[in-house]
Amino acid sequence: MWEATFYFFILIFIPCLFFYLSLRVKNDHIFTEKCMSSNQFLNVSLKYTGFSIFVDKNFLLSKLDLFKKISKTIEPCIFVDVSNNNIYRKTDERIIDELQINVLPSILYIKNGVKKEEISNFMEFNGLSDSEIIEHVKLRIERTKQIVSSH
Amino acid sequence: MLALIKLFCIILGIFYLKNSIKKIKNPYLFAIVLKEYSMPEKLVLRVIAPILIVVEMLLSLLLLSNFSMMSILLVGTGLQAFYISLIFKNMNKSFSNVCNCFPLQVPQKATTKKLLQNLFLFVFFVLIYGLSIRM
Repeated sequence: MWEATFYFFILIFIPCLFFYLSLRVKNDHIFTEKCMSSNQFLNVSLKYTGFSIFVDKNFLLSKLDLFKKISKTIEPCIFVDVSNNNIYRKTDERIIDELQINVLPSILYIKNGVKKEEISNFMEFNGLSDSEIIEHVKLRIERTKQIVSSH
Repeated sequence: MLALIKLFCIILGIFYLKNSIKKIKNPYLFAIVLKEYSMPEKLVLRVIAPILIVVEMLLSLLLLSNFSMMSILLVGTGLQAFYISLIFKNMNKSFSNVCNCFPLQVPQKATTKKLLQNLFLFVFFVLIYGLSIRM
């Protein structure tokens, strides 16, 4: 009896798990593909006004869930990979210098390619849980929106 | 002896369950690491990575339930044979490997030590099956 129940459970659970994982891998792939290189950012930055997250792509991959939640919180925003270890190393360095980014990842408010406001860098979030980080980011985004609209 | 085999199965079941939960939490990261082991990207993302995680979960459930030693042997040796061939094919290669989150099966550097660890698990599955049918 127990054995039959167990195999019945396996028969239902395993295909469901497979479809869930396939879907999740596909969605995560689409999400990470949106992360542009520093070269692509330079091409669009002059026309772009809004929030940008400058991040090391490896860090983005290891904290994917957190960044997905953050991107939902501050829509629209763009992700820029400035990991400094790819073929765009010089452009990465240039962007880091121009936008005075001290810590990766950093969330900035950009207006036509010029840094207007640093929302936060992740150094401040050391030791905080994901939900606490999102709460902090939400508060700061609201504050920045008020500052920007008052200007 | 039978109790000892069951104990080993439970220990191994917990080990594989822990590993598969780690992969379920971030399946894309596992797929990226697998891709570095010179595997075709599309196939890894669509099929191989989800299947490997599912098989690992299945193996852990089989080991914990301990209903069929034959299923444990087939699934266990199959899974380990895949990882052994993967490490063997990429022997002594180093990978940038985002976080080294899965050090046993897809390590940052494919070394003889890692190969032997996986081979040990492969042999272990054969051994517990052999012992269980003798009981």
